[in-house]
Amino acid sequence: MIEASHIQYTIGRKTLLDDVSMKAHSGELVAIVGANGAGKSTLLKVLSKEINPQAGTISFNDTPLKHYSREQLARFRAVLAQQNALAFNFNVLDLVMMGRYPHFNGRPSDHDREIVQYCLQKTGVSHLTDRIFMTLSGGEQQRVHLAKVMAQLLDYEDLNESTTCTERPKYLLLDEPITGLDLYYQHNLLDIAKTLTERGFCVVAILHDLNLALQYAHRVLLMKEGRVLGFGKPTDVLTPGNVLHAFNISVNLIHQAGMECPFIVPCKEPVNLKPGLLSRQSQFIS
Amino acid sequence: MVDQLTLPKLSIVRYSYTKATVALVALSLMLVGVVAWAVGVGAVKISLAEVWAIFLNEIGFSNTRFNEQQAVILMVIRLPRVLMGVLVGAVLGITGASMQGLFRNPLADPGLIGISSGASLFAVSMIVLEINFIKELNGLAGLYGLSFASFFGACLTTILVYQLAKVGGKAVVTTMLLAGIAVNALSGAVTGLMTYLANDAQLRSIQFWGLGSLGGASWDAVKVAAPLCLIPIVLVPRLGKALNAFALGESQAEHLGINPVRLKNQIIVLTTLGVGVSVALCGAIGFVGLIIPHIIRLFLGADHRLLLPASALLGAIILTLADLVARTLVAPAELPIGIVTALVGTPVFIWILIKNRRM
Repeated sequence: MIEASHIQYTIGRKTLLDDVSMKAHSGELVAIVGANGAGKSTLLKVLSKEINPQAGTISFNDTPLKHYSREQLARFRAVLAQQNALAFNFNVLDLVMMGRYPHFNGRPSDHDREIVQYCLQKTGVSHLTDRIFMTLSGGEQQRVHLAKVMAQLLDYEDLNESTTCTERPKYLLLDEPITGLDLYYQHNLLDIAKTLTERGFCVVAILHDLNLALQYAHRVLLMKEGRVLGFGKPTDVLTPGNVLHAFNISVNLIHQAGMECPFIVPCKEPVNLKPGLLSRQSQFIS
Repeated sequence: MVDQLTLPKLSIVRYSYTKATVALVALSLMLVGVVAWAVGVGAVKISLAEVWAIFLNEIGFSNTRFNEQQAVILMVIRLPRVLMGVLVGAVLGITGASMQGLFRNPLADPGLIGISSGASLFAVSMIVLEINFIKELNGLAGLYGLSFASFFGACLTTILVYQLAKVGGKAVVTTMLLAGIAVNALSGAVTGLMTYLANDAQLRSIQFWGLGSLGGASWDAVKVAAPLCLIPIVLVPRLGKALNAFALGESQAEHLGINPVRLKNQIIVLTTLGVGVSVALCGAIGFVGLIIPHIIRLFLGADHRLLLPASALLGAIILTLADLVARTLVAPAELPIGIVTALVGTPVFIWILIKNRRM
C-alpha cells in the first residue's frame, strides 16, 4: 500500500503540492487526473522519491519511503517516465534487460532472460528485440519502456499467470503512459496494467483521458492547482461539476444501457443528447 | 488480444553473451599479437621466434637462439615502451568510453573535464618559467618534475571543473560540460601566453609535449604508470551496468537503484588518475579516447559491459600500432604520436562513418 499524507511541496514561492493525501492499495489502479500544471507529475515524483516534499509523509507498505535505499526500492517499485530519450544505440533487448539490473550482479541468469522474453511478448514488442531503440516509433518506444518496467517488477514465479504476486507487494508508477500510443495499444497498455493489479500489483497512473480513467481505474485522484479536488470511485469523482471545476469545461456524463461505465462528452453548453441522435449522426458520416 | 492471454513459449536469447566473449577473446589475442610484433620492429629486427626465445631466457629457460644485443634492445628499450603504449592506450580507450557514458554524449572525451588542458598548462609553465622554485623542484624530482607538475595540474583543473558544476551540492552533467569548456579555454589561453613567452628551444619541447610521445618510456616510467593506469582499467568495467542505466537519464537510473552521484565521482576520480598519469608521462595524446569507443559501438553495440573492456583492448592495440608507426616511419627520428593517431585514425573513422551511413 502506498500512503501519502499531507504532502506539501513548494519551489520558491510557488506551491506545487498543497496538503495532498492519497492511498493506493495492492490490487488497485489509481488514476491521477487534472489539468496541466495541477501537480500530477510532481506528486508522482514525490511518490517515486525523485523529490523530497517539505512536509508530509509517504509510506510504502507501512514503512516510510525514506527508510528504503535506492537499491531496495528498485526491486519492488518501477517508474515509467514521460521522457524516454536514450543516449547511444542500445538495442531493445539491452534496454529491457536494464529492468532486471536491480536483481542481478554481473550477468543475468536464465530466469532474468525468461522474464525479459515474457515482458517483450506481453507488450507486443518481441519482434523488435534486435532493433536499435532510437530507430523505433514513439509508440513502440513507449511499449519497450513498459516491458522494461514490467521486467523490473516481475519475479520468475510471476510468469505462471495463475498465481498472484501479493506476498511481495509491487508498485508501478506510470507518468502519462499512453501518450503516443494508438487506440489499440492505449487499451492494451491499460489492460496489462489492470491485469497486473488483479495479480496484486499497485498501479498509480497519470491519465489525461477521463474516459479511460472511468473505464480502467479503481479509484481516481482529481487534482487542481496542487490540491486534491476529489479522491474515490471514478463515478463519484468525475462528476460534471467536478470536471467543470478542475478543467473549466462543461461535460456530459452519458451512461448508455448495456455499457459497463459511463462516458464523458465535452460540450460548450450543457446539452441533453437525445438517445438515437448519435447513431443518426454517424449514419450521415458513413 | 486473446493471443496474449495464453502463456507464450519462452525462448532464451544467449546471443549477446557469446558475442561479447568472442569479441573480447579476439581483441585480447590481437593485442598479444600486436605486442609481440611491435617489440620486434625497429632498427634492430627481432623475429617472433627470437622474441619468444628471449622471453623464455628471461624467465629461466636458458636459450641461445638470439644474440645479446637483441635481448638488451628488447628488454631495455622496446618492451617498456610497448608496455607503456598498452597501458596508456587502454586507459585512454576505457576512460573515453566511460566519459561518453557519463555525459551521455558521444563527443565527450577525457579532455572535456580539463584533464589534458590542465596538465598541458602546468607542463608548459614548467618548461617556460625558469623561476627558482621550479628549478629546485626539477632538482628534487629529476626528470619527473615535469610529470609531477602536469599530474598535479590535471587533478587541479578537474577539481575546479567539478566544483564549478555543483548546483545545490550536486554536480550537474550539463553544467560540468560548460564548466569544462570554460576551464579548457582559460588554461588554453594561459598556455598560449606561455608559448608566446617561450624561446626556440622551449618551443620545441612544448610542441613535442603537446602532441605526445612514448619516447620517454623506461621501466621506471612504467612502474609509475602501471598501478595508476591499472586501477581504472580494472575498476571501470564494473561500472558497466550503472553506465547503461545512466543512458536513460539520471532520474531513470535512480529508479533502477543506481546512485548517480557516486557513479559520477567514481568515473571522474578514476579518469583523472589514469589520464592524468598518462598525460604526465607521454603528453597529450588526442583522438584515441574519442574514437575508440565509437568504433566499438559501431561493431559491438552500446552495452557498456562489453564496450568498456573492449575499448581498453582496442585502445591498447591502436596506440601500440600508432607508436610503431611513429618510431619507424621517419627513423632514426621520431614523429609525435598524436600526429599519427590523428593522421591514420581520422580517415579510418570517416570511412567507418560513411560505410555505416549507407547501411
